[in-house]
Amino acid sequence: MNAFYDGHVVIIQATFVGILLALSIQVPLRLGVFSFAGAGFYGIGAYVGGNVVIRADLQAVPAIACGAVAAAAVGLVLGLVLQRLNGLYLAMATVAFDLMIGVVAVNGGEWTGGPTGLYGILTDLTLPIILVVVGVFLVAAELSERGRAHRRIEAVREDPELAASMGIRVGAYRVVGFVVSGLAGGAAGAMNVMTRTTIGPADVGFGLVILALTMIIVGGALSWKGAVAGAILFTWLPQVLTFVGEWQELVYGCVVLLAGIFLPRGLYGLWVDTRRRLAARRRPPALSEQAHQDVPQEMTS
Amino acid sequence: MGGGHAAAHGTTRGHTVQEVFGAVSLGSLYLIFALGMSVVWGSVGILNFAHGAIFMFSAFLCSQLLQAFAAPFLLVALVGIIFGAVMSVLVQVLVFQQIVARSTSERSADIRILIGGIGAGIIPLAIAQHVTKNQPFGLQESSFRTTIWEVFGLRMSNVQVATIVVAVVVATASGLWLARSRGGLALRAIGVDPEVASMMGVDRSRLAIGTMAFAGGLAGLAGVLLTFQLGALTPHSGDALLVKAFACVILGGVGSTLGVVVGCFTLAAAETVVLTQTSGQWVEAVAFGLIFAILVIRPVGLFGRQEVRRV
Amino acid sequence: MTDTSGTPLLVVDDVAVHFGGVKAVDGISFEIAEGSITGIIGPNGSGKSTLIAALTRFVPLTRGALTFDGVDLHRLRASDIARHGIARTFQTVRLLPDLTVEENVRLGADVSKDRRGAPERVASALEATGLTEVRRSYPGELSYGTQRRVEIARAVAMAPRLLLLDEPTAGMNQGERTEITGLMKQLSADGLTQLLVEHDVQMMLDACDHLVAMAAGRLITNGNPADVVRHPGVREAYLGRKWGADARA
Repeated sequence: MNAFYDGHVVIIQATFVGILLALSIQVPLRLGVFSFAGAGFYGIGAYVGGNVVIRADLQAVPAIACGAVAAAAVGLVLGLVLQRLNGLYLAMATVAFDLMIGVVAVNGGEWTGGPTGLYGILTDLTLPIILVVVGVFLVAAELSERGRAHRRIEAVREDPELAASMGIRVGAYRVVGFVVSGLAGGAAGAMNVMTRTTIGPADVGFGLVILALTMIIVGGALSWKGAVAGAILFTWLPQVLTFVGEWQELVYGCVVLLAGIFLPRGLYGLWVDTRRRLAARRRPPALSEQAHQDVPQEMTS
Repeated sequence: MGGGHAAAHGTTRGHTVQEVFGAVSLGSLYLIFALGMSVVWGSVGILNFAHGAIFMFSAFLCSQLLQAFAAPFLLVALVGIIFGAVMSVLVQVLVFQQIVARSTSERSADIRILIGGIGAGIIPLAIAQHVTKNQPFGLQESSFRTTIWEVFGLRMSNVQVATIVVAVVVATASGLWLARSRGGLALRAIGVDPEVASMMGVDRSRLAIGTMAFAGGLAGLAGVLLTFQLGALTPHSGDALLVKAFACVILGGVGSTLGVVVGCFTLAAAETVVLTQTSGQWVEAVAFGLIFAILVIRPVGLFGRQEVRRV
Repeated sequence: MTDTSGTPLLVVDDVAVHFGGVKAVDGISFEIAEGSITGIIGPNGSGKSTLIAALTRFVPLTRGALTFDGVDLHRLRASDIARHGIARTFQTVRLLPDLTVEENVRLGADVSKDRRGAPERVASALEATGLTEVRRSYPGELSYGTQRRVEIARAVAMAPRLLLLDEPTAGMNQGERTEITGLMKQLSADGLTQLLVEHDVQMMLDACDHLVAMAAGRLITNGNPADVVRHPGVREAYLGRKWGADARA
């Protein structure tokens, strides 16, 4: 096990960073907000994290916090500015935001290292620190998938007008979605820059959106379990199949395409739907109709 | 890629006329690329995210297939148009139609079409990257040679002139067709109210295939023209162009021919100004900033209809 | 029951809603007494549903005022309307597909500040609508009529002071309609004030204490249901053409 860990430490770290990146794209999607800003937040987290390490000699935990908070602050502004947008328009505005972060990375002078990027970002980051950070986000995600929070998030996503009539402040939920997306994306970016000790414009491009989207679309957008499944799948797939490594992009494209057509709710959605169908079959037949016929006598009396 | 290169042909800085010409030629290229995208989006309601990949891959296929012999300009352009149209129709039939058939609401279809388009766009990109090893590719084997003409001190290449002429002809023709013909009426009807249009006997899927072929053909043509103009494209050339075209379309207002014309030339002019007035590579940021500004200030664009802003 | 009996819970004063040049609602005034069932009748496009939308702040008022228990509704956000005790159902079924019947109803019960009492409110709302048996089912597994009852249960679980029912029996058969009428009367007996929009005049006569007749965005008359349907303006705009001989007068 230890030998396995030593041999795969880089990819194990990448898996956990991938989970956070996937979460940062997933959180807004769960709220029905088609924001791809997670990739931009990742870039902000990476460059802010890199800078505070190089310039202020910060260690891993405070540097991750700086990256996450900086990205969340940008997320708050973005969420407020884009509040009136929906659907495709919002999606494209956030894609433009991601690309803008890439332009800033190229043109940022000494703060971003220009086209070559930043080097020598060395910290005390260890796997346990990564595990704790990712764990915090996953626990928060799990809590949001239970009880009152779960019901309200479902309402905000599926039917914002209905949600408003149920006393839910849809706009506030959406802005919070941007902020949480910023926290997760920023933390993911900061941890990534520390595990690799370097960051450049090529690392924050549109490719990130595609990678995260692949994970979410295949894993499932409605639960953190989908994000985790997708992140593990697409971090390890190129390792397991060398053919995939060479044609990675092509495989991703085909997978996104097929999942987009045939599996809109991802693997997690497939699992949930199957379980529900089996449960419905186990219930006595015609129960709903029977209840339906019971009512009139009491009610019309 | 793309941004402001045409203006860079101007040999003397501060030569305003030269820069205006560069901006016009750049705007024309944007227009050829964006016009079809705008028509498809404004009528059948599909934003094709693979449009940039179709543009790039048409030029790429031309460069691969025409290596063997010295094809003339018109043949290359024709092959590019055909490749673009065929790919676009394939995406429509194999991806978008399947998604629409499986979607319960328009809202969920919209975003699944976006995702499907992203997926479809990755495939040609990955193939081109693999074959070229991520290096630029060009159309050097063609018999066509770029020449520079000098008219009253204004330097212009034959490709720039061709681009401008094509843009004027295509925009005028499609504008007139949309306004005057039966097919154009059907397209506008479906853009305004799909239900009423279908009751009037408008066949949505046929129109979708037709407009997608039109858009794809123009994307292929734009790919060939830009490759001749720059000498080469890279596999990623389509990505940024797609986002720029999106900026042009929403600036003018989705579905408005006049709008997309104004949008394209506004973006080209803004980029030319930024290119000549600043150092570095900020020119790429103009389109992204523009998208932001429009969506925040006036989401329906300059000439847009109110209904276009979807909820 | 007439306008003057009881305290008005809701005062609709000269309300107008215009969409560009379209005057969907154009100067409507009436009052709703606490504990009553008020019905709004009128042909399609007369502005009934727009009025409901205005009451829940989904559309802005062009003119006029909506006063609910002394509170100017126009100054609230859509999401605050529910907290002030106004619940609504929609013309179409709007249930969340990934929540069970119980969870959907619980969404309504969540509105109140009294979190502890939520399970109880859910249970009694399910009981009142006869849905206890199917509480673990998902909406997709239920018949249309049952889904509509889940909608009503969700609104009831909000423990509202005013319940707005926008065509609650659309698409239902006669038996199901009778059921819904019975349910409304039972809720009314428990003191819940209701505002109902419906096409079925017979059902309106059976269920309502008070009728408001609208046509083309304007008020024709309002008052006692039997008087309202006999009003010549109502017959002309609505009953005269469509129901004429059939209407019970």
